Amino acid sequence: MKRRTLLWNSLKSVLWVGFLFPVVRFLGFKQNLQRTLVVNRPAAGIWVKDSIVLKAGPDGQLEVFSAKCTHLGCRVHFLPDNHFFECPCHGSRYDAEGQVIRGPARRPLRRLPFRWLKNGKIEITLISPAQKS
Amino acid sequence: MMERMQKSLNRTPLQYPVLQKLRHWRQNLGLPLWGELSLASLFVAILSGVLLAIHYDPGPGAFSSVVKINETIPFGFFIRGVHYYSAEIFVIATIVHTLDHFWRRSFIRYPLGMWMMISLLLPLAFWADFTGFILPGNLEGRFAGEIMHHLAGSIPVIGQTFANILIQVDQPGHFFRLPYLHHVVTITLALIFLTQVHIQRLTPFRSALLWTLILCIVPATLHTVSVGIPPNGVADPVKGPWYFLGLQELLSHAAPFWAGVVAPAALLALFLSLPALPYKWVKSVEVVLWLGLAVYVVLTCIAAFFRGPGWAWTF
Repeated sequence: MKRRTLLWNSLKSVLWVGFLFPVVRFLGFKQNLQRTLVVNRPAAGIWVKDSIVLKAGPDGQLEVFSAKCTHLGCRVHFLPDNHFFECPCHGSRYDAEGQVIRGPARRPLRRLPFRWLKNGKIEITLISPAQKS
Repeated sequence: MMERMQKSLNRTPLQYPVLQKLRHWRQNLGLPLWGELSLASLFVAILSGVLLAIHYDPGPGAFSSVVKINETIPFGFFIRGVHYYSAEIFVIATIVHTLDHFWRRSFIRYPLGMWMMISLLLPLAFWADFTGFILPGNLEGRFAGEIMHHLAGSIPVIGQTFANILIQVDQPGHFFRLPYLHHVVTITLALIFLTQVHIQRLTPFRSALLWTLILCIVPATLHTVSVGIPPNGVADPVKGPWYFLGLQELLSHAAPFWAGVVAPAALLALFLSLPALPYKWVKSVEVVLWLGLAVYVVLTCIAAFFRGPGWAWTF
């Protein structure tokens, strides 16, 4: 390859990168805002509401999970007779603690942080700034 | 070398008596070629899509706007039906047209760049129809959007950026914004551009348009296309569009990155590179691609007919 061709190709590559880099950075920008959801205190049992799972014990103990399957994000539903969660898209199963009992999912359901409000309601943090989507 | 390759690989329907008969039958009935049908159905899909866009809401009220189109707006069910059936015809005609030319080994007549550009019409047709599957805002559409986001996100390094360009799933009220943008602008423009590159025209032949209109209007009049399961409803199993059922089945067995990204990308890369392959490799790659298609058809049948609640086997 001639030196001039090499130089020209290098310059073109630099120009392409100079053009594409800001475009990709612009397109890929996403603000990770803190998102919270306030719900009423549930009765004892396991409840799937929108994208969250509320697990309330008879002693008032509460656990909150994301209802999104960790495989590909479909919403799981709870089967009370079998006492497990099931994903309708690819068949993953989780026990009542959110642990995987059948794949293809590999990770347990994501636990969500929450706090009790003074009015007795619960504020659940769906996405915190530190979390990636 | 090129001549020898063309002589050895060239394959036309006229060589085969069965296909010759089919061709006569098609000509006698005035049926359009698959490529023509594909163009005509794209034409009808774009026009009906513009009408639908007037009443469709890509915000949080997406599902209710589709219900309104179906049930309240005069002739809404009909326009939506025409859009739905024209999109289905577009996907089917594009698949058959691609397979027809793959079987005929049309790639030997195209330079690599041109072959790659026109072959991209097939994945674009899938993407157009898949975003259309997401947009009604029903349960199936929501899950399809989540799956698309997670699959794109499984690509190392660029995955998250790429996923957020396709669809942003955790922004409340913005779920349908990007699929809508791509459905009506990005993909449509790309389809129009590549069609122009492919056949140097954008207007379909009258006979193809007439057949497409018959194939869309008759079912759209007789049958109202369902709005699907409400987004907060529960259904099990939830199945994707028919052409991605094979992928859904594969994803229930293998890791998302390998099943949902590497496998389809590898087959597409092989298909796109056909004109550039050395002569001795062409037939082997063809065998791999036909086998891949056969496996995909089997997986699609399994997912369509033998999968029940919890994605368990049912007979």
